[in-house]
Amino acid sequence: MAIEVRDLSFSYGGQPVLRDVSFAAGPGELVAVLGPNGAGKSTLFRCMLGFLRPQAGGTYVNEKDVFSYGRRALAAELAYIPQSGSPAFNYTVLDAVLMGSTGRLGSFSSPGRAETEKAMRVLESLGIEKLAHRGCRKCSGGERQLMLLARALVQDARILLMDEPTASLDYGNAFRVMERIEALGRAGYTVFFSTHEPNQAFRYASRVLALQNGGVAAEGAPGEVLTPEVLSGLYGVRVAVRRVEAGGREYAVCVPCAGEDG
Amino acid sequence: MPEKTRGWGGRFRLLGLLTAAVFLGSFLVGRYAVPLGKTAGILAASLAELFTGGKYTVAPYWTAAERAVVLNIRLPRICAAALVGAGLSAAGVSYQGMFRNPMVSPDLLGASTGAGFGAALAILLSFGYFGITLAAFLGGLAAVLLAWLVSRASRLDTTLAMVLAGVMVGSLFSSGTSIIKLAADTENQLPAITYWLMGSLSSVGARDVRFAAWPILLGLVPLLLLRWRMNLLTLSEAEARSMGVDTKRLRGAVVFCATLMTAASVSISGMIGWVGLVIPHFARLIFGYDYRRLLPASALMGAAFLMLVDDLARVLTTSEIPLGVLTSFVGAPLFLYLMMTGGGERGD
Repeated sequence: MAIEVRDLSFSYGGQPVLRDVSFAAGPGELVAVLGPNGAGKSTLFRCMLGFLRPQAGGTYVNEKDVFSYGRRALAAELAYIPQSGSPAFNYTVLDAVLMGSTGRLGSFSSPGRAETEKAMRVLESLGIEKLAHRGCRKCSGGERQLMLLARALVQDARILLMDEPTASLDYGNAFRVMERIEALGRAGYTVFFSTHEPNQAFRYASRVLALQNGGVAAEGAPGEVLTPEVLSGLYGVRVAVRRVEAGGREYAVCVPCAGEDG
Repeated sequence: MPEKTRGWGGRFRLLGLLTAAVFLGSFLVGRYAVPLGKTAGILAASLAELFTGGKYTVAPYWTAAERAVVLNIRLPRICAAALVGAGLSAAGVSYQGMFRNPMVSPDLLGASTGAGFGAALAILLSFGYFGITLAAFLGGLAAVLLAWLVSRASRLDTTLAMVLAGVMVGSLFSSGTSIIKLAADTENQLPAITYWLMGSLSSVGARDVRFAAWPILLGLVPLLLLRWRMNLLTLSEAEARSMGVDTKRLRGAVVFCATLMTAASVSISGMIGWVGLVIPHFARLIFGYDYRRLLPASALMGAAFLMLVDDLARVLTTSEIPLGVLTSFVGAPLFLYLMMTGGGERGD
């Protein structure tokens, strides 16, 4: 297993936020993290990244506790991709992506030719090499999300934690970003992405982790564990799950229904 | 590589040449006219003496008074302007990145109000000129140290806590300065305090330059070495940490260096506003946002700008205009112009 969370419990000021969360994911797995607002998705990511120290249990990367890693060593294993807000400074896309290489450089060094070439290769692989010298504030939300993805790839980590990668993206951009994420899974990366759209879990995820009130409500293959009952329980609305065929593949999709719960 | 085709090297060469030209040109500016030939001769002769240990001397074709003006008055003053300008601009651009806000100036954490308080106190206690400089330097450091300690004790997010603590400490120290002004004797001390607070380089001597040069260089050199990492401070804490950066240590180092530079600059020049805010904006327009270029460019542009403005301060009117007043007069309209033309948004 590339990453494993064991019996993790975290409370903030006596208020439990996560309770006995356990799961594991290996190379090539795409894990969707579902759950209503306040279910503990962000806190879970922060614990996995070693920013928050859980009161019980822990996160193990390659069988080693994340807290036994140094900052740089952990950065070589685990990358974090935040939501793409509007940045305060208008860095060029290339400069922003180059920042991902910082963990491999000495404190007083700057990225050189090798790092720049690598960053350009990654930009090409994501199809955004034309943006290299554009200011990131001039980029669309989808382009910025791909830029952050490129930065994580430059970091050379094999496990990616993505905080709502498609939040505030339009339909087309959300699709394009998710297609890239799926390709990363095929390339052997372990990707966690939190999302408010269960259909993304059906369509892309190999596994799903549904959190509710800090506990695991469901965990496993999306088609098996995301039943109408589980989804209704998560979001408090009646949900129907149907199977559809598109582009030669069959997917499950869910739609909220009006009317009584259940 | 694309980096090369963007012509940064050329821009830096031009900026370097310009700064050097302003430095040399400043020797020719002043009430007491020393012709170009003589100025060049005096400078060349003293350089030759310095590097050959007095073996080569040039037969003087200038008067002792002219030599004194060039070496004892103009040289330290020009060096002080360059140092203060570079120090304030580099500190400003560092604070701006650290607080993720391009509107931040180097006195955000109270360094200059603290220095003003120290200087006012020293004037009240009738310290000598050098004592005033030292007290200003220590006052600036003390203010930021206090703000830092308060922010550490607070439960707020680090950046916000530091800004709030800085504003609070700054306002405390400026109230302290007001009380000292009330207590000061109105014949000599009050005008001296008022004049010091307006900022001026008119009485700067070689000793002040030597005093301020060390802390300014001590602050600037580590920042220049860390300049790539400073880019990561403009990201969120979580992003920078997840990329393997020890943000706590880096932030501490940047605050320490920037404060050292600000306090040292202000201690010899008095309050000089706008330089630390305006120059980084211009540097961003020409050199972009990457601190690898932005930091050295800000330092050079700050040096050139303050030398130029100090030249103006020397010659515009018969009685000298305080430099701090003039930087606002020059800086504020420039800044307005930038806002009107939307120059803050760079990008292709």
